[in-house]
Order: sequence, then C-alpha cells, then structure tokens
Amino acid sequence: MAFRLSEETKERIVKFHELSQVAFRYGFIPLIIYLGWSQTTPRPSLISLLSPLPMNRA
Amino acid sequence: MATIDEVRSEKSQLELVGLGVPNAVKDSIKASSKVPVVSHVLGLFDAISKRRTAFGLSTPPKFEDFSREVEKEVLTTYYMVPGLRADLNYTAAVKPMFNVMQSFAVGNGRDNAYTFAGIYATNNVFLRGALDSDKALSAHIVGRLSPAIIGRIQAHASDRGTQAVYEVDVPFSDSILCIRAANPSFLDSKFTGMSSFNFSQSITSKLALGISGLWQRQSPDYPAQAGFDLGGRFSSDLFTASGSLSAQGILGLSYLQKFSDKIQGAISTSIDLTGMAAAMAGEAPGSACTTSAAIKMEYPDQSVLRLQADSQYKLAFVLERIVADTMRMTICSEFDQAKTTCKLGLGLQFESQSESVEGVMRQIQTLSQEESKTYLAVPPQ
Repeated sequence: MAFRLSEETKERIVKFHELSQVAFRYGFIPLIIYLGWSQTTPRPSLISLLSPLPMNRA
Repeated sequence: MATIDEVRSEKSQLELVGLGVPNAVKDSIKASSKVPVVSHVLGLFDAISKRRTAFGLSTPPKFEDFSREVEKEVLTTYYMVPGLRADLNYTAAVKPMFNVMQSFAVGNGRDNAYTFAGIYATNNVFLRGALDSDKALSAHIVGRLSPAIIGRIQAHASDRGTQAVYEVDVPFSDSILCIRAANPSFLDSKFTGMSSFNFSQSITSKLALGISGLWQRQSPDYPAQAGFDLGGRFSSDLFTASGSLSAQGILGLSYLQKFSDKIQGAISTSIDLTGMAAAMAGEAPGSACTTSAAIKMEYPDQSVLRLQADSQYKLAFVLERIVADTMRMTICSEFDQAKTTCKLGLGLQFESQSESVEGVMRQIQTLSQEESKTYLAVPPQ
C-alpha cells in the first residue's frame, strides 16, 4: 500500500506531531491532577497533592 | 510494555484500594438485521457463540499473561530494587479514584531520583501518568470501548523520542484477542512500526492455548520481519503450568505449585534452542539455559517473604513487611556467588489518605467484593 504524501503535507504532519508530543508530555500530569481535583468532593487542597510531606491531609 | 518500576508502583497504588478484580465482562452480540443475508450470517455467528457458551468455558488469560503468576508474583525479579527508595502515596478519593505518588530513589542505577505519578480512574477510564526528574513521561490510558472491549494506549515520551503502543482487547466467552500496534506511521510511503496480535483460547476448563503473531518494519528501506509465538497453559486449583515457544527459538517453561493458601513455589526455565539470542547479547554459549526457583510465603501479619535461587548461582530474597498502618518496608538482597557481588535494597512506602477515603474504607470492610464495587471505582486495566 504505497502512497506518496507531498513534502509540504509531510512537514506539516511532522510539525503537528512534534507539537502534540510536547503538549502531551507536559500536559498529561496536570490533566490528571485537574480531573482528580475537580471530580473529588470535598476538593483536596493542591498543596496536599503536590507536597511530599503529609501535611494538611486531614 | 510497562517497566518494572511502573508495575511496582501501579501494583502498590491499586492494592491500596483493594482493586485488581478481573475486568473481563462477558457480553453477547444479539443477531438482528433486516437484510436477509446479513441476518443469516449473524444468526450463524449467534448459533456458534451459543454452542461455545454451552461448553461453559471461562475467558482465559491473555497469551502474554500465561506465566504472569510466576513472573510477577513469586519470582523476586520484579521486587528487586537495590539502593534506597521511598514512595509517598496519597489517596484523595476512591470513586472516582484519585491517587498521587511521589518516589525518591538513590543508588540503583535504574530509577530516577524523583518521580511524580498520578492516577485518575472511573469505572470506564483509567489514566496513569508518571513524570520523572529527567522530564520523561510514561503514560497509560485505558478506556472501555464497549462494556467488554478495552482500548489501551501506552506512551513514553523523553528527550530521546516518543514511543506509543495502541492496544485493543476483545474478550469472548471462551477466548481473548488482543491487537496491538507500536509506533505506527505511514509518512514514509509504507507502513512502518510494529503490529501484532495475540489470541488465547480455552480448550477445557483447565487448558488454554495461545498464539501470537508479530509483523514489523523499522524503516521503509528494510524488509519487514514476521514471527509467531505459540504457547499453552494448564491450571488447576493446586498448580499452574505454562510453556511458550517464541519466534527467536526461546522455549520458556514455568510451573507454580500452591502448597497452601499462604505458600507458593515456582520454577521458571528459559532455554535458548538456537543460541541466537545469547550470541546477540554477547554471552557465552553456556548461558543458553537459565532456571530460577522461588518460593513465596505470606505471614499472618501480612508480611511477604520471597526466596529465590537460580542456575547462575544467584541467591535472592525480598521481604515486604507492614511496619505500621501507614508504612510498609521492603528489604531485598541478591548475592551473586559467581561474581561474588552483593546488592542490597531498602524501600519504604508511606501511605496516607483523605478523611473521606478513611470513612469509605471503614465502611467497605464489612462488605463483600460485589457490594464494595458501589463504593470503589472499578477501572478497566
């Protein structure tokens, strides 16, 4: 199934792929934290989620 | 494939809320269509499916999980973490499940100094991400495409590039099919990447057979490669035996014996029949066969001890012990008699949870596993 893409299209796809990789790499953990934080009742404080120390975790 | 580290941390996070129930949900497709030919074909499938259901077979494990109990439960390999390691685990909610873990590790040459991991899971979605101090992300996204079919994406992004594996599990009443594609790309005018399937089928209630096929082309200039793996698994209440033959000529055999509820013994052997794998790894021809024997013992105070000896003159033990309600300690050691080297490891796991989680956990202690599902998220895995 050989088919050819024009160089321009290929470049655009590669550029889009690179950008989406960066967005995924740095956005995935914040996405998980946001989803968890917004769906949890009562909402936990961000400090208690991000700090390694077990403070304010009542 | 999940790394050892991922398996460890994921396991510990899931253990916390008592998950890990099998998710293979059986559903049957109703045959109904107004087009006569289609309805005839669907009717035939329905009849075959009814006949198969009549045998009363259960869904077997996936082909790659045939020796899972041996490799990941009894052998010490997955639990050996030399050096010092501390995991701080915080569960904020159990439905939807929301959990964060921060790990600090030093002196094992494999784990990063710091890793932040988060899990968000509902009954239909499971998201797990871990970002380490080298800014490498490993992500695991699982979702139900239907009540039975599970789709999965595993990705790893670091400075060296990104790898992504896309997977779909299709369970039937007596078999399971898993289709996988790794780094698929059509940009170079031909398909490059790796695609594979694995299929396992229950033959009797105890015996299951599996086949796995792989097709890959790393670069459009090179020819594609393909191969098949074959395997079988026999499991009864007292023992489980499995064997597989890979396309590279490696024969793997494993055997697990349950001596009692708390004591299990296992033997795992890998034989390189062609000698190619050892030659590629630059090893001596004598190392073509390795055998490991291990025993796992669970104590009444929930401590777990694993002992292992292998044919390369290595002795190892891993002791997991619950020191306090919120703290678990792992001590491990491996002594290599041939090289006279020794590895030591100490891991500490601190677990904390929000007040609402404590309340839920108190509540479900008196409930059965079925009833507790209403309080706990049961994510697809």
